[in-house]
Amino acid sequence: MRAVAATAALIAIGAAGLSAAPAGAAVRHVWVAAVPVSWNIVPNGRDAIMGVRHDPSETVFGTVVYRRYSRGWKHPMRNLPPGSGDDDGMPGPLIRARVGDRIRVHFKNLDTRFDRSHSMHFHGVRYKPSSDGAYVPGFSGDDGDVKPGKTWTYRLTALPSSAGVWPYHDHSPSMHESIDGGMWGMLSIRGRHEPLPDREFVVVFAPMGRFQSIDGRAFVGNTPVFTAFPGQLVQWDVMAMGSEHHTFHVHGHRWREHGVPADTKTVGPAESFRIRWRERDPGTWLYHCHVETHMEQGMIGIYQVKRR
Amino acid sequence: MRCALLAAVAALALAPAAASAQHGDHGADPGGTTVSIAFAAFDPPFVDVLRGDRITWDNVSVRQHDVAAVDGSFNSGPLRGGAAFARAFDSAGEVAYFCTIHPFMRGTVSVHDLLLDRPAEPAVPGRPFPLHGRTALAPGTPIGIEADSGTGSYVRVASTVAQQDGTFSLLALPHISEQLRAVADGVTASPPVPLLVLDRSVAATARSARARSRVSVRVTPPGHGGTVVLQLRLRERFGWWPVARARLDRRGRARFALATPRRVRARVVLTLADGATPLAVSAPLRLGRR
Repeated sequence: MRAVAATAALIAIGAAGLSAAPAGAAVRHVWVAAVPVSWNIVPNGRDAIMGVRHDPSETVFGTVVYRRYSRGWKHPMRNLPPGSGDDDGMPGPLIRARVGDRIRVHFKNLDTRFDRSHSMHFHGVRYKPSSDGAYVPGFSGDDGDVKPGKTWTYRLTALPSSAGVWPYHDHSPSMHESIDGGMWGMLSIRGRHEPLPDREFVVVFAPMGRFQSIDGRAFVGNTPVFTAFPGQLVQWDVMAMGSEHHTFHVHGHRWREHGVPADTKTVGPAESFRIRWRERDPGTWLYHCHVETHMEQGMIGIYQVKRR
Repeated sequence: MRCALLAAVAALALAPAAASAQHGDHGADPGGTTVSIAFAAFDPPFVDVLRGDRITWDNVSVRQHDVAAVDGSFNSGPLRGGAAFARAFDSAGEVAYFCTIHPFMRGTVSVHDLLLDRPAEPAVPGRPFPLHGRTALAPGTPIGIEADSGTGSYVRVASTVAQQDGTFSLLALPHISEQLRAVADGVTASPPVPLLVLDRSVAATARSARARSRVSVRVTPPGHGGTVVLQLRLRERFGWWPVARARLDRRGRARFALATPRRVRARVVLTLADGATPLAVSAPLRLGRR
């Protein structure tokens, strides 16, 4: 396929802070809770490519994830738009906004399983220290240490330098166990006049026990099966959590990095990027981390472009 | 007979599938143990706790009570309705207590070094069944699992070690119902817990119309709770893929409704509460229009 569009970065670094919200900017309210779940890393029970079976005793564990809720945390809702991945809790809600928007993330800790504090810490957007969500003994407030049953509202602003995709994750005293257990998600900030893609795929590379996961799942069929139609504008939101670097690769497609065609891009811990293209190549394709050992341990999935 | 029941409790410590699984995923009550003080009784009157655990007595009645150890080691003082008293127990052994205002109200706290979690659901003969527990012993301490098949004597069937977070886990392969206990050093034992082993079966029927299907499920014998998961055989998922989960009612029944724009094979799996560990599987069904 010839390189079509794309681009990773629409970033106007160093742009001035907003002194006032620009015309047309919105205040977006997002309701999120930390909820306990039983998570299966390999629901179909197998690595289909290598023909290896995995028993639930190896792959099921209890953890806590971010779940989107309706206003006032009344009803659980989808974390992801249809077509953006499996909607089971990893990743947390895809929080979409435009440059200039103000974002209010209302967070409630419903962790009754481990009875731990949790928080939300956001990359890429502007906020005051009281919305940092990071626990620093003697300095931070309740934003970084939301105890079970308690709530906190994080007040964020999407600056011009926020355009792109960014991680968020737990940064409370339970940060390490919680990140290992899947408490992460992404912010997706569009430019002021940038259209929504037809499909937005969220890809989070993270270790999960002895597996290497994409969105908390390992091996083809278990990782999200992304789908698109020819002619659609697709966007891949990619990030990594944990302590390792990964290389994002999609078969049969290329994009441009600083004007140069590419089909693989490196992402390190808490780094993120997005890639866009206009789809035109029907077929079933692989996407995966090209670090060989990670791929063998489950960091691989399929992308299906179907004719209408 | 010795090996009758848990012929082989696999000494497999549950794999540390994810780091967070090592941090207390064992069903323990993180909030501690609460005993209600009712109008004329402690509820429950007998409790088993781990050494170091804290018990809260909560006076939920309309009259005044107190909580006093028979050996005089503690006394809550008067507790009006709505008041509470909490105490941690740091030594293994039994502590009898009573209400000095109403001395017929009595209770006992049993403090242990090992507690084996009571299985919440029945196991299936010959299928791996996860067991979990907590210990006040040092990390790395060898812990054995013993089973009594009804002979009145316990037989060692598996072993594991205490984890850093004070938990232990392993898989059992039970064949008949049994009493289980955890032991350490050959002398310290947890109170026994019953493991019910049932050969359960799942029957599922389906009706499809206008690109929607309804699946009715019946598990026999009923009355033991349980989770059922509807799975579809999907090419892009390289096998059976869970699409919906439901709890069984008292009659062992559940229903699913789903969109089926194309014809697809389905089955229903009875699982543990994790929605993944299989206990029994239905025969395959066809969903969707022909």
